[in-house]
Amino acid sequence: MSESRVPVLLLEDDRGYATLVADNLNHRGFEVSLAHSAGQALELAAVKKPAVLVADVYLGPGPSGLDVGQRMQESLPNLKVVYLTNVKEPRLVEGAEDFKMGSAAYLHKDRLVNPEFLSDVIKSRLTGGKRTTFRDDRDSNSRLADLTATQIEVLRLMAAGQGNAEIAHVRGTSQRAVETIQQRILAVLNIDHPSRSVACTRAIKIYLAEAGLHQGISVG
Amino acid sequence: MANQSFGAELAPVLRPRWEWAKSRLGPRWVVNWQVFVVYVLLTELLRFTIIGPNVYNSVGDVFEDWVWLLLSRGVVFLAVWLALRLNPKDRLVPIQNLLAVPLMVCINFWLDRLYTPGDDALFRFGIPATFVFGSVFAALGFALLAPLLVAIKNYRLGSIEADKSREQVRLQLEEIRFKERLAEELRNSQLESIVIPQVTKLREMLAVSTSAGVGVVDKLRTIIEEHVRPLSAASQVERLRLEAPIVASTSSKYVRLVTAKKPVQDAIRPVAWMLIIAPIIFLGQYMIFQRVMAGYSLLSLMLWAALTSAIKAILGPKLRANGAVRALLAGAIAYFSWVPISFLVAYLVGQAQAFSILVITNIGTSFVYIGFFTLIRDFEASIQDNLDLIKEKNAELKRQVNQFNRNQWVAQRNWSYLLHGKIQASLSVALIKLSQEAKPSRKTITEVNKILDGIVDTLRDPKLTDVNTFESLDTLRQLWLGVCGVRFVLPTAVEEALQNDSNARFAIGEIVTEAVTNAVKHANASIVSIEFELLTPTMLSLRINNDGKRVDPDYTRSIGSKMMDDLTEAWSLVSIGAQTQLRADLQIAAK
Repeated sequence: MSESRVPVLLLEDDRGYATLVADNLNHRGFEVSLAHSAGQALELAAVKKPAVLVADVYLGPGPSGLDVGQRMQESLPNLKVVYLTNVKEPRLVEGAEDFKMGSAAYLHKDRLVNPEFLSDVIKSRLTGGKRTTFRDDRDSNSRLADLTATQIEVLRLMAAGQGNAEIAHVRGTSQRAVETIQQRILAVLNIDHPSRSVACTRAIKIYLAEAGLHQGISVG
Repeated sequence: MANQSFGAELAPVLRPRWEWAKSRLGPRWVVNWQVFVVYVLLTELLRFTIIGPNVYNSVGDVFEDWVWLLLSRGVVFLAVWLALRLNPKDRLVPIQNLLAVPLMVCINFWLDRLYTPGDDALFRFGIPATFVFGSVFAALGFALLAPLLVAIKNYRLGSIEADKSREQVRLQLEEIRFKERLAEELRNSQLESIVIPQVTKLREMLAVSTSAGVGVVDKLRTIIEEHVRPLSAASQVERLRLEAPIVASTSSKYVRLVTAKKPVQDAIRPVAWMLIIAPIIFLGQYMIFQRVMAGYSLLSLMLWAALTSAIKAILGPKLRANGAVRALLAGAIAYFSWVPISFLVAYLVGQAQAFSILVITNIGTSFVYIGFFTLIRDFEASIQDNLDLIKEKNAELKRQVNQFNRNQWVAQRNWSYLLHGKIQASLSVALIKLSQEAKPSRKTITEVNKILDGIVDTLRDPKLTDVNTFESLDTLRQLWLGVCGVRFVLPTAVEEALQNDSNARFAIGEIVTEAVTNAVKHANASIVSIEFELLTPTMLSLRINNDGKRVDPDYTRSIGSKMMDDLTEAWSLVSIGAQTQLRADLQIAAK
C-alpha cells in the first residue's frame, strides 16, 4: 500500500494550515512530507525526491515559495508544482516580477473548503491534465490582473516613489515611453481624472493595497 | 637628508602654529571698520600715554584735535586697507595684517608731527622710541583684537551651520512622519482588501448556520471594529515612534560664556602673560627711566612669575567663575601682582616718583591685555564646546533616525509577512473548518474561536518574525546549490553581537536574500561570497561579492537603493575588476 502512495512535499510556514492540508492529502492517499521553511524543504527534497511540491508563496523572511518551486523544478525535472496561496497575483510577489508560471498550478488557499479539490488538482497535474483549469490568478478579481508585466513593473517603480526620469533610467527607455505606459495603466485600471498626478496616485494606492511595498535590491 | 631644506625638521612644529596664526590674523576681512574704531581709540590712548592728560587747553582744542584725528586716521587706514585688499598673495596676509597696523601708527604719528611742528611732546623720548613703542603697542593690540573678531565670525558661522543641521534634521523627521502616514494607509488598504473580505465570508457562513456561531460572529465583529479598522492609530505606529527626538535648537542660540563656570586658576598663566607684556615692560621702562634696565626688568618678571604662580597654586581649582568674571579676575591679579614689584623696581633705581606713570602705562595695559586674552580664549573654547555639543546631538539624532527608519522598514515588511502568512492562513483554516460541516459542532466553533483569538493577538501586537542569520544564509546556499556557490563566513563575535537585535537580524536576512538572488538571477554570478566584520561593537560591515556581470556605474538609483538607504548607515555597490561588491554598514543595538 505504502509503495503506491505519491510522495508530496508540502511547504507551508503556518503550522495550522499545514496540518490541515497534510491531513487532507494523507487521508487521500498521498505521502506528505512537511516543511515549514525554504531550508527545510530543500533538505527534504534532496532526500525524499517528491513527485509533487505544494508550496505556499509567502514564507516570511528569506526565499519565497516561488523561488523554491522554480529551483526544485530545475533539479527535479518531473516535479509537479502547486502553489497554494492567498496572493492574488504571483507577479506581485517580491522578486517575482519576471516569474514564469510554466506548468505549475496556482490555487487560492480557500479552495480547500472543498476537501477533494487539492487532491484532484494534484492527480490531474500528475496525469498531464489541462493546466488552465488550475490558475486562480487568471480569474482573480484583482484589479491588477489585466496589467502586463511591464505595466506592473512601472507601477511598482511609481509606488516606490520613483519619478518618470528615474523609471526611464532604470528601464533603459525614454520618459515619453514611461508616460505612455502610465496612460495605459490608467486606462486598464479605469482611472479617469483631469489631473495626471491624482490619477497616478490612485493607481499607486490600488497597487499598494494589493502588493504592499516592494523594496527589492538590484545587484548587477 | 641631503635634499631636505634647512629647518625641515622644524616644519611639523611650526606649520600648525602658522596655520593657527593664519586662521586668527590671516582673514583679509579682519582689517575692517571695527579695527578702525579700535585703531582711532588706540592711537589716542597712545598719545595720552606718552604726552600725558594735559594736552587740551580748550574745547576748541578738543574739537580740532578730534577732527584731525578722524581725518588723518581715516585717510591712512583707507589707503592701507585698499593696499591689503588689492594684494593677491594670500600666504602673506597674516604678516601684512600684523604689520599694517604698526605701519599706520607710525605714519599717523609722523603726520601728527608734521601737523603740529612746534609740539614735540609726542616724541619727547626720541623718534625711534615713540615709533617702536607705538608699533609694538599697535601690533599687540591687533594680535588681541583680530582673534576676537574671528571668534565672533566663527560663532556666527557656527550658528548658521547649526541652523542648517537643524533644518536637515527637521526634514528627516518630516520624512519619518510621512512614512508613518504612508505605512498607516497601506495597512488600512491591505486590511480592507485582504482581511475584511475573508472575515465577511466567515461571518456569512456563520450567520446562516446555528446559534452556536453567535459568539464567533461577535468575535469577528470585534476583529473588524476594534482591531482591523483602528489599527493604524494604535499599536504598530505608536510602538515605532521615536521616544525622545533631540533637536539641537536650544544649544546653538548662545555661547555658554556667561553661564558656564570654569576654574579661575586656569586663567592665570604666568608664562603666557610674561610673553605678552615683556616688550611693553622693557619699552615702557626705557621711556620712563631713559635707560635700558634689562637686569631690573628680568628680576621684576621673575618676581612676577613667582608671585602669579603662587597665587595660582593658592586659588586652587575650587574657585570658579564665568568667562567675563574670569577675565576681570585674571586682569586684576596681573595688575595687582605687578604693583608691588613695579614699586620695588622704581625704588631700587631711585625714581620712586615715576611709579605713578608706571602704574598707568605698563601695568594698566597689562590688565587690559590679560583681561582680553583670557576672554578671547574662553570665548573660543565656549564656541568650540557649543559646536561640539551640536555635532554630538545631531549625530545622536541621525543615529536614532537611521535606526528608526530601519525598524520601520522591518516592521512594514514583517507586517506583509504576517498579513499574507499567519493572518490569512488562519482565516483560511477557520473557513475550511467551518465549511467541512453542515452544522458546525461545538468543538469546531471552539477551534475557530481559538484561531480568531490568535488573529486578534497578531493584529493587536504584531510580533517580529525571528530570523536566524546562520540558517538564512544556509538556506540561500542550499537554494542556489548547483547554480551558484554561496559562501559565507559568520564569525562567532558577529553572531553574538546580533543576538540582541532582532531588527538587525531581520534586515541582514532581507539584504542578503535580495543581493544573492539578484546576483544569481540578473548578474549570472557563479560564486557569491558573504563576509561580516564588526567595525565597532555597534556597527557591522557586510560585504557581498559576486563574479557576475559588472554593475553599471550610473545605475545608482533603483528601488533597491531606497531599501538600502533605509536599512543601512552607509552602502555602496561597485565593480572592481571581475568582482562586484555590495558593501553595507549596519547599526546593531548595544548590549
